[in-house]
Amino acid sequence: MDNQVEMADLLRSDGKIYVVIAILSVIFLALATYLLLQDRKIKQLENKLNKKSDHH
Amino acid sequence: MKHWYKYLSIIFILFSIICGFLLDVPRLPILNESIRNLYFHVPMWFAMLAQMSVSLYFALQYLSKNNALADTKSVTAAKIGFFFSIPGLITGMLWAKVTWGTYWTFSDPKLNGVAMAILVYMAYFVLRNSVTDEIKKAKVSAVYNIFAYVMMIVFIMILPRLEDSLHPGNGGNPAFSKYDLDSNMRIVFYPAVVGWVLFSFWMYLSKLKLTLLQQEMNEQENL
Repeated sequence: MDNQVEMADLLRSDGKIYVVIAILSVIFLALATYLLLQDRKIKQLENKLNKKSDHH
Repeated sequence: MKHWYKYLSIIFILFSIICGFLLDVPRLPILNESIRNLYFHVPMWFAMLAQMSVSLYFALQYLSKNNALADTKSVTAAKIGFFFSIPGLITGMLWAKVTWGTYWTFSDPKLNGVAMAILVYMAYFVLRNSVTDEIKKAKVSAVYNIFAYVMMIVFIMILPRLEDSLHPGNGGNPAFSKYDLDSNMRIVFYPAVVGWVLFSFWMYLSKLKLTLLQQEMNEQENL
């Protein structure tokens, strides 16, 4: 009876689900990379500001 | 390694995306493949709860120590928590449409509760912006923060368990329903929750640094 419940079996056997996984992974990694790069810029700004305030 | 939590959150979320689609899930009628939403919809709420807890922690710290930094941390965490409630709501509505037949139902106490909790936190931001005196602002919002957190817990954790709910694990049964027993799903679900909670902390720390930079720049301009 369990086997009568519809699932995306065909999609998985075709292998096309991998495309979806790949696309989602790319999107998520892009977002994470963006956040990483932004953190680096924040760090640079912090350093710059700290140097400036040392001169005072 | 200083940034371990960033990489750990990336690894865990990536794991949940890959294994969330590939591993077997229980074959249940009505839910069908949409049962996989558990890996993505529920962690949004865990991330929100985590950030609101951080917000409460720093609100309490502000009230006991009166330092402005605690107030900044508290409001930053609340903003990130609020942010996560939006994808939480949207993913929940899409999932409800295909399983319960409607985007929104007022017969489910969890939906109404979460809507109320979101409104309570919106009022928190409105309240903050309406007070111009910095010290008064910090004090009032720290006190309100405690109220907001308690209301959120009542609305999303306590009330739904007292009434009948469409959500699994509610309606007098504070546990996940039978699909939680499936160990295959736990392998993906737990890392997904940890991953998204860590990701929310990452966003919180990043936003905090940015806010502190802004404050510092404003101070230097005023010198």
